[in-house]
Amino acid sequence: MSQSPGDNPFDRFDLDPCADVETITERMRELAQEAPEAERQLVRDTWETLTLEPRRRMAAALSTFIDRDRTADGVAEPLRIAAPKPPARRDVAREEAPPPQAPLPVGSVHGALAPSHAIKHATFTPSDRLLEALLK
Amino acid sequence: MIILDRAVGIDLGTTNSEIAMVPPSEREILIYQDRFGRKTIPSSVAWDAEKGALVVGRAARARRGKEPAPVESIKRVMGQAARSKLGDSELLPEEVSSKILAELASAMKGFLAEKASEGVEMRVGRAVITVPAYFDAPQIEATRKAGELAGLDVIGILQEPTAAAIYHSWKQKQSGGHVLVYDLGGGTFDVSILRCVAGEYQVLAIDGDNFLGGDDFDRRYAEHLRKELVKRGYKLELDVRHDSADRARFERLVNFAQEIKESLSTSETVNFSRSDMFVDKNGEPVGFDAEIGRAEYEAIIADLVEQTIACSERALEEAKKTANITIADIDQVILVGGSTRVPLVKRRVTEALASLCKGKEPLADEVDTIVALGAAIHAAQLGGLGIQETARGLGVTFTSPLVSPKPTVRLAGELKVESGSAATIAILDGDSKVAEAELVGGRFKVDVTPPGEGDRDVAIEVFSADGTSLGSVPFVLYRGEVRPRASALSRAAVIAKDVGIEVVRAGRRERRILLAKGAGLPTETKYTFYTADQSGTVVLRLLQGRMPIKTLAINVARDLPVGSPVELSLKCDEAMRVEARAVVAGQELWATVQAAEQLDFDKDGAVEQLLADAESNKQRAWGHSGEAYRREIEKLSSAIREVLQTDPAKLSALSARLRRLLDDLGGDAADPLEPPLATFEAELDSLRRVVYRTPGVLVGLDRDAWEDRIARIEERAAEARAAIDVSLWRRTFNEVQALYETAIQEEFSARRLDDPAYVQMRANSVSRWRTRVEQGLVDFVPSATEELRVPQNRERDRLLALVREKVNDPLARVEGGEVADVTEVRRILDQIGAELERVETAAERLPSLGLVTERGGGSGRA
Amino acid sequence: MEETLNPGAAWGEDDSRLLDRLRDEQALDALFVLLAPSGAAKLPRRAAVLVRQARRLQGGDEAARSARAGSPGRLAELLSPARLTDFSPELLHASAIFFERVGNAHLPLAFSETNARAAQDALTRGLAAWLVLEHEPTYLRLLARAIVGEALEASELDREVVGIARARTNALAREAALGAKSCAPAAGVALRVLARIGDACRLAGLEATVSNRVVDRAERLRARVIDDVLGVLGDALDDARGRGAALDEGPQLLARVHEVWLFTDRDVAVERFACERIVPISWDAHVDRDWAKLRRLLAPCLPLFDSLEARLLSRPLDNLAYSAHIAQTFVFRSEAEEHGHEIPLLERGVRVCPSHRNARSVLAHYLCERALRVLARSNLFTVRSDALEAARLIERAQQVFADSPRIAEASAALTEAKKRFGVFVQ
Repeated sequence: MSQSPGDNPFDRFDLDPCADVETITERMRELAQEAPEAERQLVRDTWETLTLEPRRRMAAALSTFIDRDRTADGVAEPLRIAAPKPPARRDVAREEAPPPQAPLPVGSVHGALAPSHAIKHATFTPSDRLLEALLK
Repeated sequence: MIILDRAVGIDLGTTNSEIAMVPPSEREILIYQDRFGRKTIPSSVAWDAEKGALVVGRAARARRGKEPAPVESIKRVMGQAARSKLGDSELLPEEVSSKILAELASAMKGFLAEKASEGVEMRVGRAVITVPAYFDAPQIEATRKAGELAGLDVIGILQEPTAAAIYHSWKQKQSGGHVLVYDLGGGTFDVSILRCVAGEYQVLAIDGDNFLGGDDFDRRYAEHLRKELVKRGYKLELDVRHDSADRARFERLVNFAQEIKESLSTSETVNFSRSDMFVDKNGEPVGFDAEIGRAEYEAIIADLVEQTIACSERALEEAKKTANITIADIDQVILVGGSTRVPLVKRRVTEALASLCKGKEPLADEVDTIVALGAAIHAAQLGGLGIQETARGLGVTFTSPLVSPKPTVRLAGELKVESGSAATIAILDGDSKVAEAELVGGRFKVDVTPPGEGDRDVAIEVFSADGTSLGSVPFVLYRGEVRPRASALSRAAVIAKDVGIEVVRAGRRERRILLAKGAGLPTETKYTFYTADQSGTVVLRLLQGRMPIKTLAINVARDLPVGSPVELSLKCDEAMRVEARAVVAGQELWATVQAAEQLDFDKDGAVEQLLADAESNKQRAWGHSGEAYRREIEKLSSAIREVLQTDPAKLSALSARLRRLLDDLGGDAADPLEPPLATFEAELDSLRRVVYRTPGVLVGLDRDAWEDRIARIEERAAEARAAIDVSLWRRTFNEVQALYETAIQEEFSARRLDDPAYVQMRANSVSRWRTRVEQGLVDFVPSATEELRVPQNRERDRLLALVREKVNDPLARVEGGEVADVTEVRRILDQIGAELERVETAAERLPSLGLVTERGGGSGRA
Repeated sequence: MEETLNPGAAWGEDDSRLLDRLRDEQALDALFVLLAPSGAAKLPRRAAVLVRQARRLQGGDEAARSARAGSPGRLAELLSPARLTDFSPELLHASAIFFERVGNAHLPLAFSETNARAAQDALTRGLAAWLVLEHEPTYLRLLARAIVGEALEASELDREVVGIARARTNALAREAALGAKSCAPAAGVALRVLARIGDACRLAGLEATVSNRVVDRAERLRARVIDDVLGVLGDALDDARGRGAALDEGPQLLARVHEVWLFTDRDVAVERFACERIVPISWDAHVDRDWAKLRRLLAPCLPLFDSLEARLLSRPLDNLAYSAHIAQTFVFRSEAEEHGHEIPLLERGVRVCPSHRNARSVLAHYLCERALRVLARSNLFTVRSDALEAARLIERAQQVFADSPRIAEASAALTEAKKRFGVFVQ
């Protein structure tokens, strides 16, 4: 989060977020070959991020600007869908005090209770020390 | 004289080794073969007393059954400090391996010399050596060291399955796809899943077993043979751990088992007939005559083969997590290693793996040499091609291939000039200059379009800044296809097991991963930790998986503030060298990974005791990571039982691993939630009792309201446990404690503090508390690691002294009736209580003393 | 701006698109300059999609034109409505990323209140857009499918898409955790965004149950960060205590607790932590009778105790658990206090925990002691009023802790004084 925009791998190397792994690999190979050794590690890390696991590529792609009307291959594939139906939203016109938090759905404490054993609080009560001092 | 320097690829196997090289034309791969066409050199070293020298390879193997026997399967003990006797010397495993590597290099040099042209010398000085994918840092370190001892410059360490995959792509000319490499060698089993994308490599998963290979089939069957022979009346109750003659007898049985295995790989039955195998314990010559069927043999080794299938399935699970692929996405299963010739292995791999992937049948192509061939390709890519013109003191290393299918070839490389300063280069075809370029930092990049078709003899001429020629180096540009090759983008070598550090968090020991499994090499990482106590020692305990590989202990001033930064940097290069560097309070410490300390299990009962410890330790493990601990303990325990009477070397190695695992059963296998459940429930129970003892309203809440409040606390606690939410658990516990303190006030108010009965009760409870604390200190078992043990013992002794002086002495006075005044008694009990609380807090921190923590000491100000 | 055209070529669709894009980039640049701090790293060219989508809003074209002309205010307003109801999914997506980037650009400068505020607002706005997209995932699903092709199954893809806002919240928590160690301003901003995630939910127009889940989760993440920071300080206090150095090193560590309290916008968890930790160490000072050390120990966290006291008084049931601890701190404060000023502190202790034995008994003691002092200095002219005051003090002592042995002493002194001066006081 406290990152520069260059932290998004697509932005860092000016790659198309919608490109496939082969295209990305070709491009990154060129970059790796031209880069000095110090930078090469970064190129490799980026390549892995974008090609190893599809979820990571997806997360990186969704985290940067995507202009679907102008993809690298020039194909305009609008993702426009019908105007979304309103979600289950509050009626803001009738704003009231927020309702109290619903209790969390949890299970019950497992395990029988252990029989109590004297822990120091039950037997060592610091509270009486002060009084004792004052009662002298 | 022209010297051609191309790095070689070496497969240093358990049973056999191979060496190969990619020539500049890249049209084929040259693999060493002797005059009989045998491409493997046995990984055997022996002392030939007659010659008074060591012999390596076939000559050594031929000494099986003779005295002294050859040293074989040394790969199984790489990374340990176990010594082997050879002549008058006792050599470490890496020293033995270096003999094999030297033999390979020398053989290859001779082989290449026959192929080289006049005036050209082939140098064999740089190498990529392969290791099983699952080798850990000490084993890898030993392998690299072996190469260095053999006089080789080890430019890379490559995992065997990756090498196989590289060769497969090269041979099939494939630049994309997924492969599963099943590598069953003599001593180790590896499975790797790799992806190739536009010619670049990614390792998706690694799994394996460092102690499972063809040798284990042989040992299993040898034990079976031994039992058969015993049934036939031979005295063969062998003690291989303690009796060298028995050990030699068993080794002979292993050799015969190997022969039987190899025969049954090509026939359904084998007639085994030997009359003079060795003598039994009564001195009688042992003979064996039987017809052995394949099915009978397979029944004996079936579960070992199943273990490999289980590893493969685990690797598939990992590949799913890493790259979201399944068996259906795998294009091909590739078999590697001589042991894959065993028909049962091939059958099970087909059934369980290959039939479910695209390839349907596993590929068993050049199973003995595929690893060396792949290593050679990687070596060529990593090391380039060096050409030296000795007369003029000129050398060039080409980092790009010298082959191209197109008329133009892009050349890149580096120059070395012994005298003068090189500024530009030109590529000459005969007398014509076909290209030129400037040198930048000794490096050049140039596109060359030689005239004509076919291979061209060209030269690179070097010029100084004023245009003076410094000489030229001849080479050849080849016309042909460039097979798919990885570039600097790929990281062919990866870390097989997490490298982590032990840290302390909320008083508990935990593992933090610094270099994750699967991380491509080279890699470097830096972390900042913080001191967590003032014990005077900072301990950085590095682990691979759960095994400690290195402990760095730095002595610091006792008054170094808690929260002082400790900078740790960890580097792992392409040759898998793990280097750690730590800086704290201006002191710096470097360390590299070393072989594990040799643990002794020869004593009678030592192994049995270890197994008993393991059984009881299994109970302590808790929760998710506890499950992983239990599995590992179970696996090691059963493997130990298996080899108790058949494989002393393996027994020793496995026992050492189990011992370390048990010693380290620390924070991350125990309950991660602090305080423990029992303490939480005890506190809640105390609160409940106060509530139920009090009629009516208690601090403004009636009984129903209290029950509701307690019920909600229980819900939150359960939620925290289910989610292992340390924060929520702690907060809930603190709330219960504070609530108890509030609730108890009324009851407490009614108490008469000077009541002698009450005072006596307090004194008794303090006494019991003292006993608990003191016993805990006495019973404390310090760490097996010396760097941790020393500060722990020091602190424990300090605490015991405190208890003696500040608790035992005054308590004795109270209990002895020496203090008459009730008020004074209560004051003394107060002080004792405060002291016990302090000692208890300090004692809880003993196991993690010296360890660092991740959470910073605030702004770092002293 | 007009393109210089090849006079021979006809103006085609591609040319129009290129011109539009260049104009959008200009407008975007102007907008970014307005909202982000100066010197912030530029956005990629693709970010102009934000303007293109914004132009589809009512008044969007005009706003874009103004932005190109150097007045991006209107465009900024259009993109920051009170509710995100009118935004298309594409605009929501571009908005989410844009505001996240603006927020991140301000973070390194968060030591300045203006930048911190700007970061918080922008990050909240970005989060709101993600929340809407997460709860209306159709658009993201289609986009994700276009990105990964068949590499993910529908259920796996879905899981990632509907977790997108959650991933953002996690990233905020990580940012907070990283900087919390040093109370870094950027981390403080991240914590604040988590604390006020309800604002993002309101912007997104989420319904109550959904909103509550989001808020609750953010609170958990926040709690973990805070507990981590406190854990370090707790470890240090434990270590000091183990070495018997808590009284000497405690004040400095507790000063850090105070810093953390401010850093977390006065979080109640820090107040409770301070309470829990101070009591056992204060007992050590008490046992040693070292009032100077006790005073030094208590000083850094006095504002925390006062704050917790205020919470207890305004919402007693929420903080009931800590009433005894707070009362005990008042007892310690009275000990460390200058002689003669104990009573108001002890009264406060009794107020927050009426059943607290120590507070009550010590208060009764001091009340009686004051009664005795008052009576001791009494003379013929003041005896009546003094007697009244003494009686009041004794009555209060009796109310508070009837078993106090000093009550008998004070009552006897009062009777004596009345007799001596012949005063009849009811």
